[in-house]
Amino acid sequence: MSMTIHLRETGGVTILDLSGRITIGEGSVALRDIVREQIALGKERIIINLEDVSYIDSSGLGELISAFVAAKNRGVSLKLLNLTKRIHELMQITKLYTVFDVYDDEDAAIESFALRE
Amino acid sequence: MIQQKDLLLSLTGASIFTMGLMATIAQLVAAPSKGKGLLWFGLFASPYGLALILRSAATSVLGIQSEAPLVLFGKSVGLLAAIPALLLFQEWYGSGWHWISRWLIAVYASVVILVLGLMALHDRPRSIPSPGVLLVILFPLALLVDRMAGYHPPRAPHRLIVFGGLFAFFISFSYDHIAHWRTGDEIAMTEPVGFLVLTTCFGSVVAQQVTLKERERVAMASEMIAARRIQARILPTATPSLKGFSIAARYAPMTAVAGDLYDFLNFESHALGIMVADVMGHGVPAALISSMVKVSVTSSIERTAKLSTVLMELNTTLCREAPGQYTTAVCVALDHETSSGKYSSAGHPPPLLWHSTAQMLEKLDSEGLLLGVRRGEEYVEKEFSFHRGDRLLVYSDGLTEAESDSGANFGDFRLPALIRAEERRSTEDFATLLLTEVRAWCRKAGTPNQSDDITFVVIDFL
Repeated sequence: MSMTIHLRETGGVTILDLSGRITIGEGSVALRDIVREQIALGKERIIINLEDVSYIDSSGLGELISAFVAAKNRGVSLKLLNLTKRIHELMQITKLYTVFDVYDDEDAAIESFALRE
Repeated sequence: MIQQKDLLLSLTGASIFTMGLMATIAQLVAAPSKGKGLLWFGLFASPYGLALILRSAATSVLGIQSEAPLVLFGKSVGLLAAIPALLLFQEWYGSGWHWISRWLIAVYASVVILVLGLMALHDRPRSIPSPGVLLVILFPLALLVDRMAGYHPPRAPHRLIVFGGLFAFFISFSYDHIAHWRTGDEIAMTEPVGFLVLTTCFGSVVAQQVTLKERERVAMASEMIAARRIQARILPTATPSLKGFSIAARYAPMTAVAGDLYDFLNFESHALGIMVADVMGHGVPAALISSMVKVSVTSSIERTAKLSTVLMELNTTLCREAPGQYTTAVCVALDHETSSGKYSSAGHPPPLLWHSTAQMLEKLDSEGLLLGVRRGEEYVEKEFSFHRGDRLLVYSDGLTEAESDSGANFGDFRLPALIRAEERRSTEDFATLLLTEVRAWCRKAGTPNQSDDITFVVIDFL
């Protein structure tokens, strides 16, 4: 089972809709590549939508963090959207919610970029 | 009437065809990462072998006249086969000055197609000059131009052998074409010899490369064995025997070396310390980081008994030395005299405490940031108490995240029931059972399918 990424733009924000499983191998590499690509293209606001992500393992989590750090270093704002219960729990235990901005609502997420600036 | 030389040529053609077929299949199946040399060789050899058979066998065995379509077909195939040969040459030689090799191939290909077209339409195809002669002239010319322009082919191993083989073939190819030009004799005589030389050269190169790859693989395998031995040394060799505790541990990495680590920490004599760490990822990179974890924790413990400080120092080390690699870890300290325990966690799955009197499984929850993410992060130390008969399980997520065929994870669907049901089992037996159960849980279609390192420590309070 692999992961698919669907890219869309709305209101100046790039949204990556992920679905499937983010695990070691294809899934995590694809995620890394697309985020780097968006940063290279000069996008400054990125939302990763995890609504359809059924499972994320330590590799996938590592890639999310790396993506966040890479974005932060280039002044790009990266936020997470629609975490499943499992991923919420994982974020809780690892205290990653203090690192990432997490949202349950797409509009709220998009608005939050404006508030920050 | 079969002539001896025709038979020989047919046999040679047959063996060349077979070699070519095998090379093509090898390329398509194995798809080596670098280069299509095998493919060009295959596409060159199979039609060439076929052409040889047709040209020699057709005339003698079937008694067909040289004008017949079959022979012409054979001749066409022979001509076309030179294109992959040129591509093979380009593979090793490079593009040449101003991509002269590519021009050469393009020109030759166009002429061949033209000639084939003419041969198909003309009533006397024999009168059409063979484009092979064109190649005989242009090819050395191209090489000369390159040399004069200062082009040097890329340095590749075995270059000389391949060039030698191609050169031998080219000489025989030229000889036959020039001879044909003058005498009109269809049957190639020296070409197959040249081809055999080329095949031998090519074959020896392939054999050398295969041997080299095998040697590299063996070297890497023995390095992994050495690495595993080193990692085994940083793991505890035995469980400590401390008054009031019965301890069992299991370490089941996914590959030869792993990112999981566990250790027993040396506090005062009546206190037992356990650490389990999980570096994100597997294999050698994770194992290297786990060595850093071991060194940092061992060194911190010498100076402080505060678990939160141990994690803080570990975090500082990892942020500094291994940015981009993330790790989870949990430290637990147990005091038999006071029947109390402390723990501090950095993003690690919560240790499980089975309360035997209350018949209840407690998750020792804590929130702590993953190690290696943010410098200066501080960690929290929490307390708990235990009683005689209780059981503590400290583990890495390879245990709880193990998935069955249906996607159910061991931690939610099997582990709690197992702990409850097996509370009477001895520490060692329980550890053995637990490992067997989790391995059985993640079998897929009957075969073992461990997808992460599994590590756990069981502590019974006596």
